[in-house]
Amino acid sequence: MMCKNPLTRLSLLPALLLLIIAVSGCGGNGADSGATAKGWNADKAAVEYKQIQAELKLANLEKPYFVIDFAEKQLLLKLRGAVVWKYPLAVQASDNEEVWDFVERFQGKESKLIRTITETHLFAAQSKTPDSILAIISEVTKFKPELLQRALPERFQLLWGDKVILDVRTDIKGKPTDKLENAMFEVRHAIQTPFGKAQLMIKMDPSKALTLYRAAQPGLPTMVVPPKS
Amino acid sequence: MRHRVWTVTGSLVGLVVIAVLIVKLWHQPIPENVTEKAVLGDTTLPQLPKDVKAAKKELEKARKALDKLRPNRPYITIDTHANRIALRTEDSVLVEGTCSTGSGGELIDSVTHRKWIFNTPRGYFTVKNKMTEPWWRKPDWAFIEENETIPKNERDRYDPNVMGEYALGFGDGFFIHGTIYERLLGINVTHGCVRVGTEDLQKLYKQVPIGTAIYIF
Repeated sequence: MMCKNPLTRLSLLPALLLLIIAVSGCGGNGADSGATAKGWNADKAAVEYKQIQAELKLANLEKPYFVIDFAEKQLLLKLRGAVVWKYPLAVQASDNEEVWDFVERFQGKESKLIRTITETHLFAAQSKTPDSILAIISEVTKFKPELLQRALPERFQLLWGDKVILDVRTDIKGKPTDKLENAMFEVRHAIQTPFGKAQLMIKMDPSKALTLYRAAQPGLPTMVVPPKS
Repeated sequence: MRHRVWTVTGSLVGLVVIAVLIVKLWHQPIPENVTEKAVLGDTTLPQLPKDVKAAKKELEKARKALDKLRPNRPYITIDTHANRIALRTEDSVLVEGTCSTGSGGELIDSVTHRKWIFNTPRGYFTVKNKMTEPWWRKPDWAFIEENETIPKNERDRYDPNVMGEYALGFGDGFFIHGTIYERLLGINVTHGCVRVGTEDLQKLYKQVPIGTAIYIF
């Protein structure tokens, strides 16, 4: 059907304009229910606000806290808001699915941004200082050699509640800390996680892993920043 | 027949042991949120107001509070776990070196029963003073450790040879200073002070003004 009358055509123009305005108004952020015309995205703002509040809470603790920042792809140890240790996050996951599994399980039903480490387990480590040198040093300094040794980890796990696990591996070859204890740890977790777990494996430089392993004691507050979607 | 009885008994015992083990492991608690409450307290975070104007104002306020926490000039970090010291900003490392921090050792005076634990304090500090050619004023434990008598004369406590060329004090008698035992750098051997190698110490001394933040973790 064609409108041959010029007057009819003119009367259709405002309707067309209204249609264009309506389409451009709701089409731009169709998926985003919190969007408003003035560029204020309520949902995005709420997420940012919650993240800032979480960080402010951690900064006020006056103790170190751990940040797993998937958005900037980095692991951070922070103290009072200042970065004291930083490492690029190289996830060994084949795709983003494992990362999102980790984030979603960490956040849980309550959409938590902060948890504390509940458990750590060192599977294997390599002595950093040879025993002979330690013996000399401990003789001079009068300290027990075991107090002076800081073993470089080969593999360790950090665990949070709800079976969230960060498996850290380095490229050094170490000795198992205790074969039986390692096996029991694996069995216990297999039994206790019949409904699944979220485990993410990362690779790290041994000396950096030493810092993370020793800093990440049970009780260390941890914040997860989700990947940019 | 006897063989069969032994096999059955053995199997039964084995099954019971496995069952007990599984039950024990099943009930062994993975400490869930026990520490969470103790460390974090109430984890409920404030919500952004519904009103757009109020929400914008609140978000801006929160952003500023977070920005305020970030050091606005280079700061020192001391990693007691890996014995590393750095002068850094959030994104770059300006000076980095190996250091030695507290051993965690314990000393008890058998006479007075006074006790010392040799840890480097952790947390936030600032550079309180800077010294060149510092002398060490030996505390009581230094004499007790060496089985020496604590001197009555104050002058007998001073040793000019052990702290290196520079020292940066960060309160309560703790210093970042040099050492004559450079071979021990990288190992937790000190009584709480932070020992740094000559070159790194010189760089730190030159680049760090009084008031610089020190984060020890």
